[in-house]
Amino acid sequence: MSDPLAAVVTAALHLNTVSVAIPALDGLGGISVGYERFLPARKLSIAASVQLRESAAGDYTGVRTGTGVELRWYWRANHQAWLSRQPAGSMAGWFTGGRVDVSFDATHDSIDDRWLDTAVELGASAELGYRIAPWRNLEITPSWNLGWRHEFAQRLPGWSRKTVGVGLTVGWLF
Amino acid sequence: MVVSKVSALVVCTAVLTGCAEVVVESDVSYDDRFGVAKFDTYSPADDATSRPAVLVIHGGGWREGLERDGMADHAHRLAAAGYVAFNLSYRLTPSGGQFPHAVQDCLCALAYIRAHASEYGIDPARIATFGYSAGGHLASMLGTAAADPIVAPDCAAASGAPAMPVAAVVSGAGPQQMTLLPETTAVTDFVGGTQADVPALYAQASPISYVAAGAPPFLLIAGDADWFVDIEHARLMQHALDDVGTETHLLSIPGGGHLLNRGASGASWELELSIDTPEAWAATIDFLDRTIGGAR
Repeated sequence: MSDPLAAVVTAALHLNTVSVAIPALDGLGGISVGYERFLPARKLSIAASVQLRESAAGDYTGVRTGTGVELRWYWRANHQAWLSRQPAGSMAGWFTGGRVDVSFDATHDSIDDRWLDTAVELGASAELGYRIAPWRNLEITPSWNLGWRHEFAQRLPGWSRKTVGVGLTVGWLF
Repeated sequence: MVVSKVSALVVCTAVLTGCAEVVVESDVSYDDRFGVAKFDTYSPADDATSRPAVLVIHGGGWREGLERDGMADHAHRLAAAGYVAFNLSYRLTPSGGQFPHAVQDCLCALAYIRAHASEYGIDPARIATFGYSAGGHLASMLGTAAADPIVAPDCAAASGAPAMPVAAVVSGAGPQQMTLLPETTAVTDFVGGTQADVPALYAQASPISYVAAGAPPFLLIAGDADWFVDIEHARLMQHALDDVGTETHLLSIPGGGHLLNRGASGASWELELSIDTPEAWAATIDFLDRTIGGAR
């Protein structure tokens, strides 16, 4: 970066965040952890996450694993974000993004002690969110998404459907 | 019996996994007295006979608002897996669906389908029910209460004979003990009053009240964070069925809700029924294969 002032400002920005997804914690049976890297010159970030959760109980046991990547654009990154203590130019405030996920579901019949179908789900979604950073490096990010999901299974034919959802992550900028 | 509109469509279930052909026949009337009493059939595109069948019953709190269209994808997937699926509508409140009419309608549809089994290429002894929420309740009623005079159907297809129960039941988030439900207008409109007003009707409208030896196998699917229909319904029903020696399976979805579940990312709450999750589908198709089976 040729501009010395810009270099100082960029150096003060937090370019990384690690976060956990609150919906994944609901029920205390799983976790989804994400990492995001900001590219301030382009107002873009790249995020990735991994998930692990208990997906079936009762007379069954099940486990879901998965991973996803997302490209985000903080189009108003040059403005100070509402409820944010991070400087203008940070990855805070409004963003939009595109995300792809893959997950694996394995289900086991505990009564008969045998594995049932294993399913693979592919998901793609468009996302709109708003990140606030209200205290020190804490960040809270609600988001809304519209997407498409396709399930591959062994016994069953594939199944596609549209999705609509809300997300919420809490993390730490560094 | 009137087939008001018949459309035979051959469609593919999924581009990504190859094409499973399904023939769809729409708006078949099973009781001419009521315009709503119709179903759509989803059949595997083959000439097989004596196939197993599934009666698909939508939810929506027994009241007007949601229709069978919401279960079309489920019926389609079952058909692509080898089952003949009948996706039915029934009377809803406030337009005549008060207990026991909605149950009677489902029994009329069952009687009609059995009477026309050869036309649909199905085995009348291998019909299961698959329903969600209010549809899960009705699916259970067809498993436990079908032969009870309280819900005896009076349509032409039933011919006054006691209905035989279905061969298997998949009940997703289905109320089994009506007194456990909050007294919302959906519940009081369906049952016909509050628990204080009509306690006997709450018992009569509860599938668990009719559990007896010889009940068909049940698969109960419930989210353990379902705020509308608590998982306790499924647990009580499982205990009652276990007590009479009926094969019963309970799939609990950890953290699963009535209308919100986690998507592929696991990081958001998505508008999704608990029977739509991959583990629910895995348990459902395994249960159907083992009980009414032979669909492959």
